[in-house]
Amino acid sequence: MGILRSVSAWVRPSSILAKSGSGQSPGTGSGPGQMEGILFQRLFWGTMAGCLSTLLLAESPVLDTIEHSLLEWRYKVAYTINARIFGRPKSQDIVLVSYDDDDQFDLEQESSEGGPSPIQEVLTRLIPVIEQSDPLLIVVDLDLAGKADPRLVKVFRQYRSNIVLALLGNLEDPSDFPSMDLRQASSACAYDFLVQETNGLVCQLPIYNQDTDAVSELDKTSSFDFKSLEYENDVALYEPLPKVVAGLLTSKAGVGPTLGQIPKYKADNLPVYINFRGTKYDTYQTRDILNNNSKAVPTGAFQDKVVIIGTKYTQKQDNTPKVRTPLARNVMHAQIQADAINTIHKNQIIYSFSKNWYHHLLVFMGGLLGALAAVLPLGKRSYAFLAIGASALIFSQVLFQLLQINFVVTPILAVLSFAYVFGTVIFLDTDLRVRNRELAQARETMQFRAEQERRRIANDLHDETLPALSSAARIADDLSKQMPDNNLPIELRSKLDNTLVEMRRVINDLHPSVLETMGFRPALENLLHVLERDTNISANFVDAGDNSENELSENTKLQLYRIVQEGLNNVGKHSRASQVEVEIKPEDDYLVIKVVDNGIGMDKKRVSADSHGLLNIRQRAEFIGAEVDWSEPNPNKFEQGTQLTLRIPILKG
Amino acid sequence: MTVLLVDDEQRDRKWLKDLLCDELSAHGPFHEGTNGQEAVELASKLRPQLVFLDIKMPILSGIKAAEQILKEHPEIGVIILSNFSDEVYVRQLWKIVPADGAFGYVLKNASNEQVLEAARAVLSGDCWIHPGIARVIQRTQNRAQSLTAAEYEALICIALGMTDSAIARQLYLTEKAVQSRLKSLYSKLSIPGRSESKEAEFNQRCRAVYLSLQRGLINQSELEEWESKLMGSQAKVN
Repeated sequence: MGILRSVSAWVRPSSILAKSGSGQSPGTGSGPGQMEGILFQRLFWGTMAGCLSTLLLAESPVLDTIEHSLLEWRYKVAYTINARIFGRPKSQDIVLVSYDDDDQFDLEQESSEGGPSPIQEVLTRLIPVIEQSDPLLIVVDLDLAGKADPRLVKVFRQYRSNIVLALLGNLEDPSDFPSMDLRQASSACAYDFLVQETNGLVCQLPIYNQDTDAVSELDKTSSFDFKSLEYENDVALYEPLPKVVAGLLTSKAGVGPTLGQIPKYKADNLPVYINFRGTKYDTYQTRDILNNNSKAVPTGAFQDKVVIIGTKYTQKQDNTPKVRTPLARNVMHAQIQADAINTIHKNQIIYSFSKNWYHHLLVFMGGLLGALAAVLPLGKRSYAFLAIGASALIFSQVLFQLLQINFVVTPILAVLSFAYVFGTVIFLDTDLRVRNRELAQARETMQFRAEQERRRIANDLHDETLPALSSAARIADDLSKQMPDNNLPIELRSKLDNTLVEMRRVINDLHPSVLETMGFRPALENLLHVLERDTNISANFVDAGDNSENELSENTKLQLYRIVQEGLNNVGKHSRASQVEVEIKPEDDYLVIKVVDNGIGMDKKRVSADSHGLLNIRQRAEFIGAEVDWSEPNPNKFEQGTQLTLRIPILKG
Repeated sequence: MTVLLVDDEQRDRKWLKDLLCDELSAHGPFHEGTNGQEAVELASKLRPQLVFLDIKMPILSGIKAAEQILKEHPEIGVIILSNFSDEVYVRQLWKIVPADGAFGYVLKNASNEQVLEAARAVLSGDCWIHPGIARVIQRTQNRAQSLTAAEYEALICIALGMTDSAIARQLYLTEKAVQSRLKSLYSKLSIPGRSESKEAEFNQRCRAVYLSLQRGLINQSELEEWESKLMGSQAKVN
């Protein structure tokens, strides 16, 4: 069967139907060549999308913010879990001296008549007491704004080698510290740095790498400029802690990074210290110390300890990059200081997103994940990506928590999600195209089957039903001869004749037998005769006279016949034409069939492109791989009207 | 004298053969074939007087077979006996049958009488076309020569022997209109008008009926049908 062979070459009905019926993996449905094409497309575009999204992401500062947020979360989780498992570690090195409203001194009250704040008096009395107990170091964490108490200045000067000041504000800024005396006294001590922000107090131990030998004007801009975060001027507004304090801390208390470690801290990997109240400190009340309450303050409580003197502040609760503060309210500022020192004591360098090799690795990984997302089947892809993301997160958390190795996972998670989204889009896009193609093929197969089925029915009716009706009619004839007086057999005969006429019409609609019995061109010509008979349109058949249609399959010819039939049908119904011409001729490797009329022409606005008749023609043309086109007729032929042009490739040989 | 019966359906061959044996045994013997190819071969071998051909047959269709048979032996009368009522086949026969040749086109639901009528017509050199088809064919032949519906009606009426005034009454026309219709009918059948030729030897009406019978434009069964129709309507009118 010619039809079957030619159709099966490109439709392969059984395999297509089976695949699309089961609705499984679209990539495998359409032959090896097509599938490779799809796979390649998916891999290629998936990789591109993955790389691109990673590049965008890696260059974005958002990633740093995300990473810091994640880091904070990590610390919190790690401290919480570790505290549950191992208990809260108790600091051996640091004790806190706290002050609150229960004490007899009211620190919060305004200083009287512009005098020094009451805390200065407290400190003046407190520091000598503690110094008697031979501590390693006293970190004084207080707001010293306001007028200086000369007695406190004296105390600072006296013990300056053993005092670190954690100050709110910049010591060298007269607007922060109007008291010249106090500033000078404090300058003699080492000092820490506090920043007062509108939403609370943030403490910062500004450790950063200042190349000791090359502190030039040029370097100031290249090194991490914490200053510029808070101060507008590029002038060195404060003396950084490292050289002064770190050495002191290290030599006296053995806490904090050594001078040798400090160069590790760079602007890119600014150390972040985070307090989650993970440590227990011995805490003493100012009142007890001053009253020499030996019950509350055992002798030797301060010996060889770092003593942090602080007051109670309400802490900010929001998250600020780079600096993390306790999330709970009413945490003593002194405790933050202690935790900061503790964190540094462990010498953890916490790197943020490094923009060198990790960057390239990420881009590579993004491409890989993108390709993966573009190829994996829909259900599996989500599981795979969730699994990868979750395992990366858990793995890195375990590393962080137990081994204190910070494996930067945020970029991976970000890349993972981007790759997932883009890869899925690409997958869906290609999938849609594959499915559309399958759908079209299935439709063609259906059409082919429907045509076969119609033909079978037409044949059955023609071969079985018509003869049966005819013989019934002849029996009616016999009856009418035997009963000449009875009118019924004659009526029966005429009824049967009408039925036969109707039946013939049905059979012809189902399958035009003319094509087979007469051939393609006479069949087309017949259509014109029928049109002439039924309408007042004069029809003309122009036949180039070759037999090029012999190369076409039976099915193609049938579809062409139906298209011309539909075209002529449209001419008869809508065109108001008086003349129509059907021309058939070969052009190069094509057989061209034109249906030209001199009617009113096709108004593109009025005739929507998907009107049933036109859609029918288009689908049939698509089905046999023909090009179909509507245009104005050649003005030499008709001045107006419509021309339907069909071009069917003929495979010679 | 030989008649060839070609049909792929054994049932139809048997019906035809029985019928012809009963009624036209003088024209026997009757040979049978089952496809177009066989028909062509048998026709060359047997030189039959008459060939019955089905259209839808394996190997070679009846129409194609008729073409080949008539090409070699134009004197053979061909009757197509088919279930296809498309006039395209009649038109095709018209093309392939020589101008003085005879052919028949009979649908398979024809009564025995109609089949015999067709056979006799073709044997005596006339054309016979099944009623339902003949009516449409008039309008689809060569446009200039084909009869219009009005002319065809007039033809039927004169064949039934009606007078001008009877025709006018029947068709709700004036007599003048009837006469002008008849005029155009005569010219299409190429019958010289009375005024054109003084030596008009023919009665135009009888000539028109004869010619259209010969060309198969009308036939007995058709006229019978019309008569019963017209008489019925007349009865109602009266």
